[in-house]
Amino acid sequence: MSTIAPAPEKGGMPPLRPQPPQAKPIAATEGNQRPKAERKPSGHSFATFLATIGQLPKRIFQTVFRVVPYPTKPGLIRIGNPGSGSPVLVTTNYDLTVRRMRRALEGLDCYLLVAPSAGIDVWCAATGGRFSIANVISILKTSHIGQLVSHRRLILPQLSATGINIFELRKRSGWSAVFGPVRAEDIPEYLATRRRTKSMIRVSFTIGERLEMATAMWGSLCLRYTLFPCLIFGWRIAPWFAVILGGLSLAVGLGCFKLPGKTFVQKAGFPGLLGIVGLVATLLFPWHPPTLFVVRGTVLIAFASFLTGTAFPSYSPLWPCGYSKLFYGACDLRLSVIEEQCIGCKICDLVCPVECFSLNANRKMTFADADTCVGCGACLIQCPTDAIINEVANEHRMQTAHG
Amino acid sequence: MKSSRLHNPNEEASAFLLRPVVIERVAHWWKQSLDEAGHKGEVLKPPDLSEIAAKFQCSEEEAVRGLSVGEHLYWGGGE
Repeated sequence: MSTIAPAPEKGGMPPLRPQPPQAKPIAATEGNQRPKAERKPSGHSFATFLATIGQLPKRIFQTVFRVVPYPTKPGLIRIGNPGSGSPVLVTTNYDLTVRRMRRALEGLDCYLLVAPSAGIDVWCAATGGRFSIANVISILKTSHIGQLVSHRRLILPQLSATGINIFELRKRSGWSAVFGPVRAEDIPEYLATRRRTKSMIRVSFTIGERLEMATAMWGSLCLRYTLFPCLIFGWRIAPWFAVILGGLSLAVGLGCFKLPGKTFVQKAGFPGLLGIVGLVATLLFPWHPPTLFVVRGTVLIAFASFLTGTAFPSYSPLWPCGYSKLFYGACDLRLSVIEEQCIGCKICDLVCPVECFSLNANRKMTFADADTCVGCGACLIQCPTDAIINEVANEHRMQTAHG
Repeated sequence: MKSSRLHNPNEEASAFLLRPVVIERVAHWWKQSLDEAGHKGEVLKPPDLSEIAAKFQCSEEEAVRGLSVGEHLYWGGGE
């Protein structure tokens, strides 16, 4: 039986839990050193400012049309003056991610491995199989990083936990891996302390982030679907459709927690319905718009509401875009923890982007909050003792087994 | 809750008999080794899997998992 004692008693093992930060002498060794990453002052010049301005169109494009993969060259980037003991970070070759990483790591000494992932961001690429162990091994081999550093430890982005199993990576490459923070801007603090605070582990969904994703959703929907209303009503309808999509994207993005409805089609339908009622109500006024305009507007708003509602989960970091739930009302992931197999190491909690695990009285992890779970499956993949199971897959397997 | 090990699809996929108590021992030992080496400032070479397997009477799969857990708790632990 495997249990981790709540406290060391009579020479028993102490609980296997992450220790709180404490002052430790830093070993100047290759294998277990905690390299101090000190930020150096970075010089900004007028040339940098001009370069930033020059990059503005590209950055706007990348924000509005985020759905379009934007690859940058995979390879090894030296940040500062790294040495043989410097940390090695890994990321995907999505241009926006790499730029944000470089900006966050400015002033530090480390290596950044940009793995090929078809120009997709970390979470999407890892979940969709574009950022896998094979991609990491590929960049380890082609970059010859093994000849530059004396240690064999990688720092992976936490959100890659959905696609990269650290045990398999160790077996296949000989490199050990730990998960770093979710956001690039937290990396300097993590490198300095080697501790991840809760805010570094969890995915937030602030107003700024929601606005960014609403913009990305708007750009993507315009790009994909403007053709359809244009085929029916003519090309002049395109700007109106874009305006309606913009309004709905903003409304759903900012009001996602407040809007009524269980599904996002219902949530997007609410502002859409208000718009339609408002438009139809104009017919009551003596100088109302033409009836055809109102009919077209109604159709456009209804269409845009449906599109926004179905697309929204894909553009928010908190809701999965699984079609099982959207169309069939059933999620394909329902997790539970087998208590007797759990060793209370908390890796599931350390890779969980939201907070759905907690320790029970026996110091075992429990799947505490099923409603919060985003169904990413990171815990399922990283659990060292396979104590976390997917009940849905289990039921399906049993059904299949019994015909 | 279904708690039978036979119902665990992960285990079936990995096709290994994993003993949590052994993984826990390896993880604990490795984390402690890293802690001690950190205090003394010593060089700690990455351990050989077969040696660990012999030391703990476990499979290399269990050794790999134990090492990774120990390392993750030392390097990537939360608050």
